[in-house]
Amino acid sequence: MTTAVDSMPRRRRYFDDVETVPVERLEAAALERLREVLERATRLPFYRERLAHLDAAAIDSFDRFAATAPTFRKADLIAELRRSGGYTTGIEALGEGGAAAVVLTSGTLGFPTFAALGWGEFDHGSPREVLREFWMNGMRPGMRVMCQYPAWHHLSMLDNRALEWMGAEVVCPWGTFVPRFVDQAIELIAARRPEYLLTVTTMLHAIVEEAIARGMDVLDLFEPVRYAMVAGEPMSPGQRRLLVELLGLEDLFERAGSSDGLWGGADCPAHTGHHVWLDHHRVEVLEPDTGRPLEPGQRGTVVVTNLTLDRSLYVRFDTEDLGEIIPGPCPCGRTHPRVELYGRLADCVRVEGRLVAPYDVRAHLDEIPELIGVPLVVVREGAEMACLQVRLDGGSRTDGLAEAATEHLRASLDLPVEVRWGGRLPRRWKARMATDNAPDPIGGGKWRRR
Amino acid sequence: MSVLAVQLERPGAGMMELSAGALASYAEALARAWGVLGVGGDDRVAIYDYGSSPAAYLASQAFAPYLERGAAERTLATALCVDGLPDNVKRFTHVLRHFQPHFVFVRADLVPLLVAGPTAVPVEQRAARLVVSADGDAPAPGERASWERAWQGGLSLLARCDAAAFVAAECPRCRLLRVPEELYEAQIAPASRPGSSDGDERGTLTVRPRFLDLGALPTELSVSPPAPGGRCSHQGFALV
Repeated sequence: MTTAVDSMPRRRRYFDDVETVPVERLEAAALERLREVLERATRLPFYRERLAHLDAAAIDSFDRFAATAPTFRKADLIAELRRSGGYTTGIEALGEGGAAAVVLTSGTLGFPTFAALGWGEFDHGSPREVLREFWMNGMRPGMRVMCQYPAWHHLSMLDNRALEWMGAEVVCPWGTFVPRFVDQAIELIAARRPEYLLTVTTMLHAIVEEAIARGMDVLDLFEPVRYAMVAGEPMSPGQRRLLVELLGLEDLFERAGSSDGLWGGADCPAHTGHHVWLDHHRVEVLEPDTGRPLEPGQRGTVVVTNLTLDRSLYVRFDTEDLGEIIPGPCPCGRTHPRVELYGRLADCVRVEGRLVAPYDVRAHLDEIPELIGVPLVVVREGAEMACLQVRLDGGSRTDGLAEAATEHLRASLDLPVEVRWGGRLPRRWKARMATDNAPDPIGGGKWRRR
Repeated sequence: MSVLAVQLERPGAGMMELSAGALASYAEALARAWGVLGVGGDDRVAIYDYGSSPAAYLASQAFAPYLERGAAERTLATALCVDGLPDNVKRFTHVLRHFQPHFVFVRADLVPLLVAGPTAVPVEQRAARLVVSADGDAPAPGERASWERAWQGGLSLLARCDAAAFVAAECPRCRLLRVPEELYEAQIAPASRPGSSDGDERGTLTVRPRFLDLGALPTELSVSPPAPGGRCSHQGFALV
């Protein structure tokens, strides 16, 4: 079987020439695609009225686009879904072949919507993005790749096609990527010795914890594994360093994005944000309250516009994820924008006017070796807070550590901070937000998660 | 050469190793089963199973690498898959409400969640044909009868023996298990035939996939020998 990459020199650094095209040329090409997308969007039921005032041909810059086209949120799609009674929402920009597959999106807001993927999307759409990411992050033809989520998720569908084009040998453990299937994953890694893992962050932690609990030599178990690429939640630099060391990996990569908006990207070996391919998606960051466009380096809500057709088409979709565009060029040489995501806006707290995500707290506290991976929650005491309140897992209590954490967070975030020991918290890496109406964790009460 | 290896559900059962050709034939078997069940052009099919189940990964070219055409592409249907965790029962009910599938393929262990108790699907969303899928034994007759009573759209069985890459469906009209001869050599295991002296030739169905070098493997399906299908013109094994 010949694949798309059979003729690629294995040492080639970039998979596509387009990865390093000068920004000006890249943006000009993206603008051309944007006009095609808008021309189609204005004929779709969901956008017909929203974009009625917009002349696609007259969009001569992304600034004009941002000033002309309104944003929309998932709640708008949910309203449309409820109104239609079916699974379509009027954003389906499919070709004559119709939908090749339909996927459920994420369950944010407690209500998944549906997205349709056409034949063209599979043949020359987003799987190409994923193929670039795989190549960028060390995957090569013939590698044995463990793929943990083969059938039902949008990203897995793109992975399937990209793995095929890569010419990888794919091995799938039974079940899915929740910790109750950790035994199957360990058995498969031990028996099949994959060189590459595609999984989610929580499962990777679960594999490690289960292996340690069984008295296995984790380095020995992971000896054949050279790389892992994880999705599902933001991973702090400290967390990544720890896992790389613990598992003896050459590198560990993180994928970000969402099935809401059908977009995403992976970080590259420089680990300075996720490359979002500008020939597929245009990302903006807006001030959440005003919708004012923000400059690279400023945090706000991430807004996505897809630049390819034959799929559910998201035009200025406000993901309600907190993120930023990383300023400056990437050391890897790729010219496509880098985006960093910090979590859901709804999970953030506002302290002295600044949005702080649980991820921020996690990332900074992971800089203190004794606190790496210690479960924690960020407490929301109101819409606007004067002091960032953090509670650490009471089961990890050590004298002086909460005070050290307070000082470190104060210095890192330049905000008033109070870190205290709380009750026992569930074992998980990801920092969570708890609301002020939850019982005080010091009493060991149950926290209400948003 | 194996391009895809999927761990089997049963602990210690090993992996199903598939070349691109074997994967295509296995998907053809699922497509034949879908055809027996009546899945056709423009039908919507919802699957509530793990992505590692052949009932899921053979369903669409989108669901597995190296699969050029899954059952959906072969029958011109559109497939959607919900991960087979019991926690996802609300998501699946949401799919029933909005995707409005004509057929739903559900792991046997998840069916009770759909038909009874606090997670039961509202009656008005039970219009699709429910196809119960399991690796191994068929549901007990009493259990099956109770599910059939609870589900308005009718119930059929998708019989599987994953270790033998076997999948076949029960005809909704005559209830005989139709095994495509081009894909499987099927027989009743002689050793398991009870009471041969009184002419009872029931036993365990044994299959050999013609597209894989596996040999003949016993399934856990108790069947009687092929017989005409009554209202149907074809022959099939009756599950007993």
